[in-house]
Amino acid sequence: MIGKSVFRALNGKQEVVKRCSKIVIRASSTVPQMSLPSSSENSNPLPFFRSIQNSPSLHASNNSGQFYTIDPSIKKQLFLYGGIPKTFDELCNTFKETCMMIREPALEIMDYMKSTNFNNAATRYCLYGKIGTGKSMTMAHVLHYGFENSFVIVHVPWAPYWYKFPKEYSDCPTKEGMVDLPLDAVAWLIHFKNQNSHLLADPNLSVCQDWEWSKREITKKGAPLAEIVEMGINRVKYSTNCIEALLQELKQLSDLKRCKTIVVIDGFNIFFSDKTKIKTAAFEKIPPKRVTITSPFVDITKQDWSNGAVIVSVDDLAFFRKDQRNTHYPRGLLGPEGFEHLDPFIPIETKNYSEKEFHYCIEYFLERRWIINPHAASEEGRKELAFISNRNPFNLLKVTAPL
Amino acid sequence: MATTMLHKHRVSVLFSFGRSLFVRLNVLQGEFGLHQKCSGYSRPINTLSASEAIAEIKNMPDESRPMPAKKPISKAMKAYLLQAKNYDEFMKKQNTEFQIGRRHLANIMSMDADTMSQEDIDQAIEFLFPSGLYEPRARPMMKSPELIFPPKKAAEFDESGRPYHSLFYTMNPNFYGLLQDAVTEYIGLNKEEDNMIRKRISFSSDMKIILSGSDWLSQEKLSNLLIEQIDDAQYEQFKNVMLRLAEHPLSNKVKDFIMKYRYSLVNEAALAEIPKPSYEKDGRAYVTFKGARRKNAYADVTVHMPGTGKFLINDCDIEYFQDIQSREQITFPLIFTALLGKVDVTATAIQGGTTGQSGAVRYGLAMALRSFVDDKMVERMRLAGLLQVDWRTRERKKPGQPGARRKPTWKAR
Repeated sequence: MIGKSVFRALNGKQEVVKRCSKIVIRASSTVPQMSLPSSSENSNPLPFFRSIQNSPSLHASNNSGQFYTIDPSIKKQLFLYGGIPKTFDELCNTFKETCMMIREPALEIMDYMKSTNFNNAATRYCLYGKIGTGKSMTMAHVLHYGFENSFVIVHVPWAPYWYKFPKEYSDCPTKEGMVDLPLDAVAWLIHFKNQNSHLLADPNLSVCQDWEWSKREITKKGAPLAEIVEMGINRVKYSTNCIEALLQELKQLSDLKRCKTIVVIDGFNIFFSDKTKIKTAAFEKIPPKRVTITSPFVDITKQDWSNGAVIVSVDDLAFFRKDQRNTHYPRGLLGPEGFEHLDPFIPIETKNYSEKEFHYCIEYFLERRWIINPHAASEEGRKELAFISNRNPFNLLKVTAPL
Repeated sequence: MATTMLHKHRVSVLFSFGRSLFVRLNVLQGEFGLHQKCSGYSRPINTLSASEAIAEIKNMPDESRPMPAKKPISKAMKAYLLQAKNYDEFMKKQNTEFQIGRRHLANIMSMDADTMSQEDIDQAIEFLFPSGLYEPRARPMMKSPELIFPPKKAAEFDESGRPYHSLFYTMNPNFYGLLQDAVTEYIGLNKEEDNMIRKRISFSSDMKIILSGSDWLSQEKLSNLLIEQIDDAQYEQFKNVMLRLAEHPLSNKVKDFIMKYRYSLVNEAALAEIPKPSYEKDGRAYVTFKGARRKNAYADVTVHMPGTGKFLINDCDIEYFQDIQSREQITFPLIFTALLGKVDVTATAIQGGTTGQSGAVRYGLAMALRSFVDDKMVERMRLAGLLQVDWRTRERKKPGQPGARRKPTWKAR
């Protein structure tokens, strides 16, 4: 009798061990290119600054400060045409992995989104903070969350590009006094298509009304939404009109609960500035108001639709150097017009690293051998780094680059 | 006997020349920065004035034995005596004028003439006669005549024309005398070294002189000291000889001799006065250093000792400086003294640009941190250059050139 119970107990232990190893294997499969630590850390295979959770929907405050890896295929789908800041992208190439820190602002937004009543009007979140504190990174994180939860993504990676480095501009044929950015509009539609390719096949996403592009070209009611996108990509002339139509459709579809939309716009304050580099045919410089591509994106950030979320960031770098306002607060950057438009919104501040986040970041850099200098790894070295970079994420990266 | 007496008086006449001029180095102290008394001539010298000595000779009582007829004084000697007399009278007159002038000045400035120092006189003159001239030596000055008028050598040969100094015919007896003294010292050190080797006494590094913190007198200063014109070749020779002496393993024994011809590079007076911290109501110690300069910037820096590593510049945190270089500059004193995170710093910087302001804050911070750190660390800070004002300023643009150094484009033809 005793022998049997012992045997069962032994068996029970064996089962537990089997289960543990399964978990270990699963964790390692989500992190393809990492070297796993020694076998003594069987229960937690990753170092403390890495998160086992690579799915933003499952990120919680206990993951705060940890790095999670974005799968290369997801990165390609979401961020092929922009969304990950250039410097960070170079870092990812160096480290051969895309690892982002899970920080409070992103967790806050995702928390709110999980508990929002989507019957109400679309909530607007405004990300603000000093330069280099992680506004664009937070947006990328939230974008990933939106992608995972089957939101239709309307993403403008960096709005000022349209106004500072327009590919081509021409007077709008239909609207007087307005200027078109046809190629930029096409580029954006391609970006939209790439990000939402898995949703555009959904039969629920069908057009709610007729759209007449010209006498012969009409997209009829009930056609798939993808047709508008294709129309815009193929016919450069109508690309901005297609964007307008697309965004209006998305608003209506969200209202009808046929989809949920997440709007992510970086550098939103440029829409309310005075200057661009765009000129009319008469060489007159115009403000963003008179550019056709502005209005659909300003329109979608209004509160006249439901079942969605709008995340917007305001940045002093969005303005031209001479016009920079030396403030990082939304009211200052949006100006009276922009603030009135965006009000009411939930302001989310991005800050410099906390002590814990700083520690985790240094550990990550050491592990990736971004920091090789032994003094930098020591306690005194870390104090010095913290002081000189003021624990600003971007500054820390720059300061540790030569080390 | 008569001859010996005559000899004595000859000595008294010829070596007394306006209050032992050759040995008067207080003359040179103020102007040339020598801090030590120099007795380049080790022979005893009478302090009779030339005129007094001449009178003494004339008034000498007749001896019982008949004196031989006086040899005629050579023309050179006559010239020297005349020169000496004139110089003496001149200096006396200048001195009385200076004293009268001092009293007048004291009257004007309502100061006490007896306790007035040369510094007070300088300040008063600067106030009464403000000058926009760049060169300090061109500005009006009122100093003791010994400081203004250059010293003159005593007569170098006696009545018969026989020189006193054995090296007179080298034309620079003092200079070559100095070299010979150096060699004498060197030979002495060699003997000592031999003794030590014989007795098996070990040598240690503190038996050798430390030359850091001082430098050889410049050619000009050496010339003034020896009252002889020293040319480049001689100066090089001087440096070689003295260096050779200083390199001897026992050179610390002749330290006094060597240091006579060196000047200190360190302004020790300024560094010696480390301020004591004041105390806030809650007992925190703090020190303020005001007027730290770098280029055109000024900074006042306050350091509170039991602190948490806060750093405020003009009410902004370290992000006030955007570039890394400026941030590293202001961090350096804290890292060097290992007080990063242990003190609170508040600084105000005005004028100047980024580099100037950060340099000024760094200097001010280092000077303020002296009060919270032991002497060894202060010495290390001094060696690191933290306690030295960075005197470099923007170089002036010259006429005919586009910039300070930039020349117009060179054209072949």
